[in-house]
Amino acid sequence: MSKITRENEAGSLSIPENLLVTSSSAFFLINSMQVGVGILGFERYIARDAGYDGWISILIAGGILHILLWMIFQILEDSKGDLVSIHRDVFGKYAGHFLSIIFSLYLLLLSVTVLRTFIEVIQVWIFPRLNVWIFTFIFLSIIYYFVAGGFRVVVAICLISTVLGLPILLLKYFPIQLANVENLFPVVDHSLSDILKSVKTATLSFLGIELLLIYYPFLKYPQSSRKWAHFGVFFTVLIYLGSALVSFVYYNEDQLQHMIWATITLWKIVEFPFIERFEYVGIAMWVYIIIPNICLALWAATRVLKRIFKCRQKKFLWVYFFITFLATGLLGDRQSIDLLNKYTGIVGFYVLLYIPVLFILTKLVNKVRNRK
Amino acid sequence: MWKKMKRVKEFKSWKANETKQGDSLQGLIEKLKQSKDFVTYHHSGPTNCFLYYIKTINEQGFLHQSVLPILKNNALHTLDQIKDKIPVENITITSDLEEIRRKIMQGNIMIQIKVTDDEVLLIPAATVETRKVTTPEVEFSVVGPKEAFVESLDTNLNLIRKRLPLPELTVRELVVGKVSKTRVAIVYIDGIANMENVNTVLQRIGDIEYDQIIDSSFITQMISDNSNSPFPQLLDTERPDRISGVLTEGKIAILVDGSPSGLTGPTTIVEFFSASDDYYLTWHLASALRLLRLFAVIFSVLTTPLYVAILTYHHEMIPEDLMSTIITSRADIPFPPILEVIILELTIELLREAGARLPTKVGQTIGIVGGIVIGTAAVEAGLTSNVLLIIVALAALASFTTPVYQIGNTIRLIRFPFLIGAQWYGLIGISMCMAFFIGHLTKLQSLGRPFFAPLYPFRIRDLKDAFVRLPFNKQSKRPMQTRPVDSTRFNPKRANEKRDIDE
Amino acid sequence: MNSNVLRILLLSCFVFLLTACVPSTSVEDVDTILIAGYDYIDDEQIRGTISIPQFGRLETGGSMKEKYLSSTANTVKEVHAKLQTKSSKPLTVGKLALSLYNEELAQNGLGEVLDNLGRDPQVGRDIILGVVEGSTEGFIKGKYSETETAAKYLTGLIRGNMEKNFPTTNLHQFLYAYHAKGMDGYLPLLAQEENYVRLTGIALFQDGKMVHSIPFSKSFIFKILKEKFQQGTQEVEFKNRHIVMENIGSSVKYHVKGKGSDSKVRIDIEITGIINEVSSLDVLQSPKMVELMEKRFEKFFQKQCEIMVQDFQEYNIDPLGLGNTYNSQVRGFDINKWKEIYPSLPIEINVGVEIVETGIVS
Repeated sequence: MSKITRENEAGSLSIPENLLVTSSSAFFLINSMQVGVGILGFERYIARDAGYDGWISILIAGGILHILLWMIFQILEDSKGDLVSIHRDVFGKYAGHFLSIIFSLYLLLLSVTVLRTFIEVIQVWIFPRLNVWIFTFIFLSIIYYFVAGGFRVVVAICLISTVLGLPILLLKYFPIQLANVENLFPVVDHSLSDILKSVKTATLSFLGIELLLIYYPFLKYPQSSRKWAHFGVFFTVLIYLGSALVSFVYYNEDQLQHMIWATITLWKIVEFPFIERFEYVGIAMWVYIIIPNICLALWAATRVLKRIFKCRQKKFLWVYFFITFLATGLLGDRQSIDLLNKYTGIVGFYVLLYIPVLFILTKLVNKVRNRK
Repeated sequence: MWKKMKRVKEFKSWKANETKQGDSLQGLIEKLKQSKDFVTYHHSGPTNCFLYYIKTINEQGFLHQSVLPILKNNALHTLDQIKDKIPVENITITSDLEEIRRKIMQGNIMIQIKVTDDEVLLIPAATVETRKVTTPEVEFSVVGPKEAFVESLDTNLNLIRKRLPLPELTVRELVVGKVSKTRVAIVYIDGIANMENVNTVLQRIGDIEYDQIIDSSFITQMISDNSNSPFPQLLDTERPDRISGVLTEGKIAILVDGSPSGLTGPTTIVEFFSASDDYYLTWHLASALRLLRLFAVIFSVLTTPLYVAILTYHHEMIPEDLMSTIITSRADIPFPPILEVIILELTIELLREAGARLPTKVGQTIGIVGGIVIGTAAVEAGLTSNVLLIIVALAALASFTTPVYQIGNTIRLIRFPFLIGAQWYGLIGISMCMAFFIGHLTKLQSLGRPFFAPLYPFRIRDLKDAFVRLPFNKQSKRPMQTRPVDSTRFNPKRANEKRDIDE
Repeated sequence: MNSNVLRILLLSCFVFLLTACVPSTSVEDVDTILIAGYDYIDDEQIRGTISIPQFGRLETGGSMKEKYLSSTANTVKEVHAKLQTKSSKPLTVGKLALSLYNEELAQNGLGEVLDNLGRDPQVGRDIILGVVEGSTEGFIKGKYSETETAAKYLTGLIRGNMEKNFPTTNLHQFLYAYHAKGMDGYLPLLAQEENYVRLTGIALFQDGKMVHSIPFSKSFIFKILKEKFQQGTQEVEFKNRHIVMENIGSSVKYHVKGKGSDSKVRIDIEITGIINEVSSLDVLQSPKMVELMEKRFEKFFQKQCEIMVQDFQEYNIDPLGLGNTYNSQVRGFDINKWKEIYPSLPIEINVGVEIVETGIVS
């Protein structure tokens, strides 16, 4: 890889044509990164502040996400590079690289969080006596197999995860039969500040668009990818909205606060003549949703390092895998995992806040440069 | 491995011997004389010359009717004169030792005026023993053509050529194998097939370093992009109609002399589930059957792992009505589900393998003995549960639905990793195993083109002949997979001109 | 990657994986609890009884066998732990179909049992809960059917009736009501007769405690007040004869009017039915007669519903979930205020009955 992708002096990248991906890939990349382990239990957090007006917050958060995505595309189009080159242009070599490394560490944190939370789901729902170390090792080996295949394979697993995830959405039909639609009324029963608080929580569920800053140069037609990326965000918002609404009508507010994983509990009532208790199938299917999450995050994290240090990406991958392995194994109980999720949320929130800042800074830098 | 080394050693010593003796024509003749079927014949009469040939690969009738009478009736003194008189094409006069050696081994008659001459005349008079063209046995179909390839390259090319009477149908030929000198033909339609693919094939076959090519499957393994994959990356078929079908799609066929099956590529995973029958039935039926096959394959791979996963870890998933059936049948079985499944799967594999090795008539008996006697006895004795027996039998049955034999073997094999996954982590293990295989498939390439194609990269255009087969009037474009030079089969506008009611 | 490192990695992988198995037991090596019943002993202790089906090989066992175990302890978990000591195989609650409580326990509150059921990921969400008159121990140990297990018999009985006259309830719905503001749960009330089980009525709860019950004869009334359904029959006296109407579609809607103490609730019920039994044949001659019958039914249902709702108000229970509706239709809901006004809340009931068919004879 390192030989193929060379950087020219201007800092923009030339990636060989056979590694580029089609514009519709943007849809799957965005969507599969946004839908992850969080969707299994986000309803509770959204309803904590805004109650059953939480679905409004999802819509508002979706709108914000669209704006952020637009900003990211603006930043990238202006600079014709990726996050590393943008950082270097804006902040200079050392400060820029420092920020890029922080971004890489954030992605590492993200993948640890996703992996650990998913393993917790498995521990609680299926195997309370699971040996976390061994499971993590096997899981990471599969992920290594994907990431080592390069970006195209990562995109492939994103696509497949989106496609395999669709039938799971159909399972919502079962809880809808027991729905109490009146739960949603009266609409807007909470104060604006409550709803805004829950908007913040909802935004965190949608983390994942910031990875575009890394894989943008791999898109063959950036212009037409734009439409697909927005479509991807829109689809994510729809999925979250649907999940939230179904949970809201199936549980009542107090009950939902007791549900750590509302969506998995929903699957419990799915029943077919040959199979009952769909949560086991659901969690098993969730493996396909989790793998692209971690693959993409770790690919992007190591890609950043490779761009900075001009070293083989595989080496960084080994290091990051080792860190993920250790961190996942060492985090033991529900409290620390909850804490991990909380901190990742905070960091993620600042990363999202950073996007408009970067947007303004690149605009300023461009203006100054043009004046010269 | 050892055998191969030995063969190479023999080859080397033989080669050394050859260079010692074979420096001259005389040496070559001396060496050939060691074989009983090499005939040296001094022809005296009007024409005085020496004839050499290997009688086992020579057509004797031809020698008697077309060569000897001319030599007897005319007084010919030079090779050129003989060449003019003998009514056969492609007669060569040469003193090139290498060419002489090759042609003599291919069944030419060599004529020499004087024993000491270096220059000889070579008359092609080879005869090749082949089987008659018969009905396909591996890829049988109820409707459609019933011809299958045989072991002769020329016959096989004839079967393709008569289906595609085009000047653009190009046949390139390479000779591969140091010892076997096997002729390998690369067939494609110029103007449809992408030259990049053709060059890939030519280059890869040209690069093969091996002493013998006995069957086309050697070529598959040697030129496939990832030789460590259990999935075949070139499709092999014994049906000339299938080959001519894919040639018009812009694919490339490889035929090997001595092998009754051709290879086609670049191929995709879904092509392995399409039978040639699919094109001979109406599209609804064909699509339904194709989906049925796909479902059968998924069923075949996943049922026994699911059995293990659910019975070992996820008891809750069994509906109450099924619970008693399953528990009753498993009640006295001394083994855990995984062991039970492995024993039964291995039994089925044994039966298959035994059935494949035995003559047809005995093979059927084995099937009955194994299927009924062993199965029933095992259940009666309480070694396996009858529920599992049904599942394993169905899974075996389902794996036979694949139209291409090679992928059937793959499906037999990949069930076992899934079983291990199921035993480790239940459904999650199955999921992880599946994810691994999906990743593997997305990484695979067939002649440099993605193997997992209409799914990834996602190509809507190619999906119309993947899981379903849409009617012919919707198939106006050739698949993108092969990157054909000319991608249009027909003009859909002209074909789909709308007619109003009562016109 | 060079091959040496890879080889070592593969080897370590393999060693790793050999130990990767999660501890497990095959399905025939566990005792699946199908019914669990809990009896009240005193304020501290409860007695649990479970029923476990015993599957033998098909040839040997013609009839279904069941094993029963009982234990007394302080908490549900402890009961299960004690029961385990009496069982040769590990107990699982994964296939639990019925959870039963005796009346005394229900009156003392089901909070703890419910928490246990709701928390355990193995337990399904559509299991049936029920209250038993008398002790659940005897109830579970009763022999009801030669051909099926008690669990199958009981779930069949309750599920079958839920499709007809009995209101639907399961663990999820009961928990929903338990957690909801302005809604109280209800469960089926069962009694053991000599060799069969009878649904005797509906047990009504308030905050997880059983406070009242209504007899089975009124369950159709309760059901039309509670939910939309398409089954069930009701008999009415009409001109000294008995006619039976079969419901083919009934719907109910709650309307809230006004705020605070001058709130009003209106319940609109629409029933479409067919007449399927009349004790004498000569009545159904004219369309006018059908109209009269409709009137009669409307009056009957209205009266019965009013009595029932007043009954609820008297006990200050809200199984219909009027508070929940109030919450969704009026802004600024206050649960305490609602509890105050509920007993004296004016509730108006309108019933519309339409008889569309009178069978194949006229």
